[in-house]
Amino acid sequence: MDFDATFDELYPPLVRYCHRLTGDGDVAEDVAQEALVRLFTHQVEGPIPALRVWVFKTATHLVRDRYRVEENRKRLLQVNPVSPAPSESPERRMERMEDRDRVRSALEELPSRDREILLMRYEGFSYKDVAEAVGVAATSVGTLLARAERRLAAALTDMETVA
Amino acid sequence: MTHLDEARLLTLRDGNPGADPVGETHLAECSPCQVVLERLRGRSATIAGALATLDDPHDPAAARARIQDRVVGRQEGATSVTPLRRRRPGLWGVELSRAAGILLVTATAAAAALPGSPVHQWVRSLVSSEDGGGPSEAVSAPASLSSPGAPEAAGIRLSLTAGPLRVSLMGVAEGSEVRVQWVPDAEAAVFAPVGSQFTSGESRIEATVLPGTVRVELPGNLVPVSLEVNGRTYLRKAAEGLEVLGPAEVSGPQEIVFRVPGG
Repeated sequence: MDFDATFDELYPPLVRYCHRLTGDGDVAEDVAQEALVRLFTHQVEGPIPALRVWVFKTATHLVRDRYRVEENRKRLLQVNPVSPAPSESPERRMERMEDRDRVRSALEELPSRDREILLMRYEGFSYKDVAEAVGVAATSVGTLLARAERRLAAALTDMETVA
Repeated sequence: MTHLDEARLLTLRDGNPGADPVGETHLAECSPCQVVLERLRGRSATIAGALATLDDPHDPAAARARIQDRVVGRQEGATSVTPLRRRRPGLWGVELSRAAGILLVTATAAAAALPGSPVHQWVRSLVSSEDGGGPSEAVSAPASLSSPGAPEAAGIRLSLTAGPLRVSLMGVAEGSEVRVQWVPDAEAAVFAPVGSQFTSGESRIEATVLPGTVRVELPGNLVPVSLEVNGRTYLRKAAEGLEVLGPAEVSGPQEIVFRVPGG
């Protein structure tokens, strides 16, 4: 397995997925890196799409373990707010943080499995791959995804209305 | 006519060709379903845009180096400790205990510190500062956290119950001293001149330091541990022992002093 090519292909989408899933940049990096370390140390072989499913599945499980205690999750979100881009104006930064908080809150309202399904789908995985990574029947993904999208869209709309 | 439900329309929207040939045929002839499908496409675009607001840039170069380092470390460890054996199934338990002992960055450690102590003051100044940033972000620590023997030092602490731990120091000036001390408690720490930048995450401390002495405290019973200075490994400790790889001037059981050479 070519380390550099595999890393270049897998790391950026994986850390983005983990960041969206956890809301914490440091945790996302740790989880993404641990998943890739396991990929390389277990010497998992296969084409890139299969490796991609493998590391996303591993990362999903690592996040589940990490956040098994919900209070711990909340504490981390409070302790590790995401850092702003340094060149932004204060107004733009404020807007961006508000947008982000809104999306984060909406995402948090989803059951964790729905959140995983939705985020994996928006990383471009097929329903079959989503099913394998998250651990549901492939035939259920459409139904679960539809519910997750509906809930997320409704939560976003509600929050915009309130704002 | 029975229209397609949302799940079936999503399957078609998300490009799973051949998964639902009956649905495809229906959709081609059914205007109401096509309207709903367009609405679902719009919803998808909205969600994708919303999710993108959560994204932050990450540094792939640093991640690449860390992963390589950890892969090498694990392979070396696995070879020397359990040759010809795969990792035990119970390893998830180790991961869980690591997760349970998740890092407590400076703010957490300082929250437990006695009021009036330098650590307490530092954190209080961060908390009271409007734009102070979170404790695991890049933080320029004010002078109120002092280090014994280095009164103008700032620092960061990390509590952890199990390895690995990687400490990375960048920007260490030529001729600077890096003093590594083994401590009995379960906290690692880095102290450097005021104005240095510190970050931490699970299993790592990183610092970009200003010229001057750097002091590193490492829990004596923690393995594996590695210390890198300006991208070079100076020290590596595993279950089977300690390797001093950097330019050590003094190497004793309690303290190792490195002197950073020029380019």
